[in-house]
Amino acid sequence: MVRTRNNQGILVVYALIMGLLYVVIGLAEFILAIWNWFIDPSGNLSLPYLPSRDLFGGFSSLTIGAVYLRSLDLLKGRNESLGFTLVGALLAGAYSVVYMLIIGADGLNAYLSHISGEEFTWEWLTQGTLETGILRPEIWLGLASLPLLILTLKNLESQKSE
Amino acid sequence: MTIRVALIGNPNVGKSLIFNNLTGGRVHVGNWPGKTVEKKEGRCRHRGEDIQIVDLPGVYSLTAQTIDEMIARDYIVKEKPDVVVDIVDASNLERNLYLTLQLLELEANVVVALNKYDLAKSLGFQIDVEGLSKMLGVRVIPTIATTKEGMQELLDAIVEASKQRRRGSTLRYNERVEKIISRMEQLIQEDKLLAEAYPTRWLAIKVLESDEEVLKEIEKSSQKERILALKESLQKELGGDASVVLAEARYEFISGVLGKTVRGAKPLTVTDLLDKALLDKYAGIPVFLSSMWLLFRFTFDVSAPLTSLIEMFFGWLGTLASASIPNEQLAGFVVNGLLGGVGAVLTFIPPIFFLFFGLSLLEDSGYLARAAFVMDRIMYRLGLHGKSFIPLLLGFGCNVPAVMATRIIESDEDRIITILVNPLMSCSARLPVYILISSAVLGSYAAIGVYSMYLLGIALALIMALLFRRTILKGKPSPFILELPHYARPTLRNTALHMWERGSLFLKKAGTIITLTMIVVWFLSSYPWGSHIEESYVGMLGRTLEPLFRPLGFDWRAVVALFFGFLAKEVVVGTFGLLLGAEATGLPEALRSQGIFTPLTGFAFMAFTLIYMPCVATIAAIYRETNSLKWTLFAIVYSMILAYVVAFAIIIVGHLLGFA
Repeated sequence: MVRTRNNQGILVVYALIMGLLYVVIGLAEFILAIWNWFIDPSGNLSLPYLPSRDLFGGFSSLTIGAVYLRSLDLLKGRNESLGFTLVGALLAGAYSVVYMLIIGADGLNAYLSHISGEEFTWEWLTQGTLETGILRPEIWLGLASLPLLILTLKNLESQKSE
Repeated sequence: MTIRVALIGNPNVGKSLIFNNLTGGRVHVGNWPGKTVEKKEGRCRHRGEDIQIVDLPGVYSLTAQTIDEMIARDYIVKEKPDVVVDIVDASNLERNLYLTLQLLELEANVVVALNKYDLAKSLGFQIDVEGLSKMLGVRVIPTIATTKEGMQELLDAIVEASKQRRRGSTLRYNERVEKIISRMEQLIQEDKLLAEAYPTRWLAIKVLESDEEVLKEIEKSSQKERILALKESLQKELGGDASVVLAEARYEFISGVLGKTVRGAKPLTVTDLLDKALLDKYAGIPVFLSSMWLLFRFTFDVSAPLTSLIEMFFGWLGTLASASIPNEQLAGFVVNGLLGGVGAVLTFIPPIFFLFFGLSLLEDSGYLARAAFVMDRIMYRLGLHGKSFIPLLLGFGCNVPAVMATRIIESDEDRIITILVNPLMSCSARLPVYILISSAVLGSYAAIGVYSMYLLGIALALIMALLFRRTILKGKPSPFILELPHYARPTLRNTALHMWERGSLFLKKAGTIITLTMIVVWFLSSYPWGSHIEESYVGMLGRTLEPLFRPLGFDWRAVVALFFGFLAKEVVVGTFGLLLGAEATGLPEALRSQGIFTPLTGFAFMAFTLIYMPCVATIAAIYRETNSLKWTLFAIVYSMILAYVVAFAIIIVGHLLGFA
């Protein structure tokens, strides 16, 4: 029982941190995209390491953050709110994997262009379709969500065995 | 004398298994009179009594909104079986007892079979069977259909119940609702004919719920005016939708029963946790949209190198064909017609297969059913039936099976609305057009362009459904109950199999209608032989139609592509390949360099392709399913007008936002 409580405490703090990070990043990406798409299309407002025109990507990160934050209901003793950490972590992980696949696909495309006679550059890794390439924060936040997924499943198991 | 027994229960409660256990598999299978729903009858003997058992369709309630519910209710009301065995899932009593209450309202002689009793125990539930029996006022027998446990006890209870018929309903809802029901019941009792034919309390409840079938009976009553007048005033007293208020009263009653008879709680499972978040009132829809966006990035960006490889292959094949075919006309046909046209379409095999892979993954995991549930909230408000989501979702693959899938919708109005808006869902044939134009003019934001077309299609489908519901097909969509499957870990084999089943249709189409159309387009664009393409037959056609589309910024080549796209939307891509003289490789570059589209006109063109006239196969399916030339023509005309209006609006708004 004590272990469960401790786990849940760590889990809530972890979910809170991840949730806030995702919300901040998602919001920034979303606002940048709105600005660059609709308010000042000719300019290019940007922030370091963030894509400047990924409207739906920003929305998705915002969603992941909000889902994580909804798991704070665990503090009110609502155990089923573990579902929010589970879905948040799964979505974050899926985004991380697909973003890495996109970088890989960009790399393969760069190689194909190279064998067709174009100059090979590392732009696919640092910029690419994702705009910020391997530095896209969601890739790393997705990986950082993995412990949360494990903690959630462990917590669920410990509840079953009680 | 034979005891006539009806078996009833929610779907998936083990009803068929109990039916087989009781009858020993001696079954007569036929159809319900005038319906295509299967009717199973069987017989058995117990304690010297001959028992005839009828298996009623699996239903969640007796509201008579579906054919199954109608059959079940009619049988109990009109045939009046001696005993009705209600099979309930002991592990899901809250949902299952709803039907039990409706049976008791009908004053059926009910015996409850508490099936899956072992599962309920393993989930930690302790059910006070005696207490449950007392509170419901009927015999309750625990059963485990899979091991045949409880079957003899169930047969004993059937025989006993047949000899001691229940009299009247023992159920009492909360005081406020009861007062209203009893006022209506008193009035109904004044019509002796009606009171003899039906249980009066049940009639009172059904009148308050505005049950169409019951209201037809009331129409024949001598007390018709008084009953209908009282109905209006009592419905106002109940407040809100009477059927919802009464449903709440039933659930309140169930909650009270379960509170006193069931102990222990089911431990949380992964399914519970996932459903908590995925079906959440606030998080459900954003999570669905985020999942779709992820799917499109996977479809578009991850498949890109495979597309490049196919482009390179066709490029190489084109060079080879040009060099090795001496006859100029034949070389033109192979290089421009086949490789330029059909090849351009085939380069989109990877994204189409990736899309189907992702959709299969979501479907096999059990998520898509949840998405249907989440979307139903919006769809119902906008006049679409909940069941419409499945045909609409199928529309992402191909509109033809999607239109056919509307057969699952019972109401004609709901069905026609779903058929009319279905072509607005972006089928896989439109994907090559979106990808081509997005790659050509939207650069690194191409994925957003593609995704926005899918969203635009969904939004327009909802808006048009609302418009049709408010104007030409007035009414309210009937509510629906969706059984959510358990989550499952998708297997690579099954997902790949589903992907192939759907994707191979694209390959077949490419080998038939697309190739034939491309041959025709090649002929029209190459003859009179030797003339410049603008002077060819196709050029003449494009030039004639061009003025109509000038306000949208489409030149004659875009117009020709749209014209032939009516046969199959992929042909739009093939036609561009042919008209621009580009081999498969570099088609986006050719579009860009020849300045056919700006980002704004390209976006408007994608929207036009999404909305305008369904392809010929979909039109045929609409005609077949509506059996009406009027609705088929309406589908064509409204989509053309809508396409023009939306594309024009995009151009105007784009200009206002400063896009060229």
